[in-house]
Amino acid sequence: MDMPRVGRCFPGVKEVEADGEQSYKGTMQVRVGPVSLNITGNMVVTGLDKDLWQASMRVEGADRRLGGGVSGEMLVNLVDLSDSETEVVVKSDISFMGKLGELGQPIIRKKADSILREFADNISRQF
Amino acid sequence: MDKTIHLKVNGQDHDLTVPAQRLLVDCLRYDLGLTGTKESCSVGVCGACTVLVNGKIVASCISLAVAADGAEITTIEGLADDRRLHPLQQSFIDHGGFQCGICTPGQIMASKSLLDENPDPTEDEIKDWMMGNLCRCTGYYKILESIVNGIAEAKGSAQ
Amino acid sequence: MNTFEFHTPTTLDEAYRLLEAHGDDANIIAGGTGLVLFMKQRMVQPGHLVSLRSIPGLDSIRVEDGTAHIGAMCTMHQVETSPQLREVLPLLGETYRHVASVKIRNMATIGGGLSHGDPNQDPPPSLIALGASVVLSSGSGQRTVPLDEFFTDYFETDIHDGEIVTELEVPLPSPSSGGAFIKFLPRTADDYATVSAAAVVALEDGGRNCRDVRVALGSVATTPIRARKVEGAVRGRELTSSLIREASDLVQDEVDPLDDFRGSSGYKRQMAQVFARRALEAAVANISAVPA
Ligand SMILES: Cc1cc2nc3c(=O)[nH]c(=O)nc-3n(C[C@H](O)[C@H](O)[C@H](O)COP(=O)(O)OP(=O)(O)OC[C@H]3O[C@@H](n4cnc5c(N)ncnc54)[C@H](O)[C@@H]3O)c2cc1C
Repeated sequence: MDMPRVGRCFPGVKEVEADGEQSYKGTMQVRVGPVSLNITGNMVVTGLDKDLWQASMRVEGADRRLGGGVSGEMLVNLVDLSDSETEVVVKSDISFMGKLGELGQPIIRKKADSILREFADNISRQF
Repeated sequence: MDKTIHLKVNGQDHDLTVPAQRLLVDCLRYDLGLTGTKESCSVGVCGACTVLVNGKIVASCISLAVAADGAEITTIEGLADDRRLHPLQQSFIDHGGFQCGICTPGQIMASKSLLDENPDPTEDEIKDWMMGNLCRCTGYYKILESIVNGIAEAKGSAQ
Repeated sequence: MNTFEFHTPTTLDEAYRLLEAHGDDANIIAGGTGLVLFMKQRMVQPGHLVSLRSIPGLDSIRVEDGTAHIGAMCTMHQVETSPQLREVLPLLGETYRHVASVKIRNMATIGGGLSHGDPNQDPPPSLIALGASVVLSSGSGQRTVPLDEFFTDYFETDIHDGEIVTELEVPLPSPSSGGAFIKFLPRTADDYATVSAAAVVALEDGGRNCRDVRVALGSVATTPIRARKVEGAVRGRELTSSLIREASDLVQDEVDPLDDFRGSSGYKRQMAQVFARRALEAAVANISAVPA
């Protein structure tokens, strides 16, 4: 999987580069309401199943200045629907800490939904 | 980062050097020793920190001192005329308008500014104006009575 | 609060230069009621604050050529009590007087209130219903954005980097029109709205049918919203109470409220219906020159 290319499909991701085998580091800018974070962190691919077209990864990142960040697991699965259609299924379990966490569940859920929707749109346009 | 500002507080000029993040309420209380102004909720809701900046009431707990540079400020200490209390101050004493007293300076500054803008308010107008000044002791009837009478008194003495 | 450098530019050009020089590390400060609270909570920690207070001319109110031009640095209390505005746009005073308390309205500015982008604020529904726009100025020119396109997400707006809101433009309503704003406050009188709704309706010349209508709501989504389905259902028709009731039900599909301590999403959805209806009814009742 071309991680840097997939990674950049996330809205707000500025750069992604490999820093080891199956490990990448990058920066991401997220804005949730009044809080704007510059998150630096890394992503480790924890599982890759070429037959099932499935990849799982762990992400972790923090904004040092504001004190906030994210950590969690993601599972991306490609499902063949037909010769010309592939469904991208993204499952995520992400925790928000510090300033981001203080904003409250409903708003974070809405933001996460919109980030994932944009990610899926970008992926389908890119590949 | 420090900044030098000029404030005219209760008629007296002050040049002060304060950190940019200094709140007006802290500047009044700690830099100038005017502890009549109280801080309670710290988020602009309760009204305990109410002071007049250029004649208008503001919440000094969410005001930056540097943003008041050049302003004229009136606090509760500036209301009495020599040793004669302002009619509103006297009325709060006469009508039992306070118990613990924390909200009182704010109540009096807010009602003073109502008097300045609307010298003949109805009771509903008083209630509406005073909405931003909370009291946890009196239940408000005594405060309303103090303001109604204080304003009447002030009008009488102005004539 | 973190420390920062406090700048007091005396011209807009100087303000643009400061914003450009400090980029992401700078925040504009107007009345400070929103920003200082965020800074106290360490939600934002800017290195530079650019105050608009010392720039002359940003706090004027002019009514000309059928439009009210309200400077971004006018305080809410100034707009609420302006005799000139009360005469031509009574809905403005009727709306701004609902914001918090007098001491906050003495500090909070028109431009700061809109830039803040909190979906629970009172002024946006009325201003959207009135068809208002904001003027955004920067070193590279000026653009005007209608308020129904200005709010993009929770506390996010269409203000680009380096832009300053300099003016609010509100077209004066036509004759035979009426407007209303209702703030639903089940908790305390100084709270933010649980739901708010505004409506402005205009009748056809000499007729009873609705020529134009705008309905907008606050606290029902991540931004203030314009209820276009409701508008579509009444436009061109006679505003009977049964039509208003039917049309208001359509607001359900246009809102997506957040759960919070003021109410669940489902509750707010129902209240949106009730208050869209009441705002429309009140707007109709406020029409000044109803034909006999
Ligand atoms: C106790 C309390 C109660 C409140 N209750 C209510 C209520 O009931 N209803 C309601 O509607 N609101 C309420 N508010 C919110 C209030 O309306 C906002 O805080 C206020 O409008 C912000 O205006 P300001 O001038 O103080 O802006 P600031 O705090 O100075 O700025 C707010 C934001 O806008 C940006 N900004 C400011 N001016 C400009 C400009 N000209 N151009 C571009 N960006 C700019 C700033 O960078 C900042 O991000 C309440 C606030 C408080 C503190």
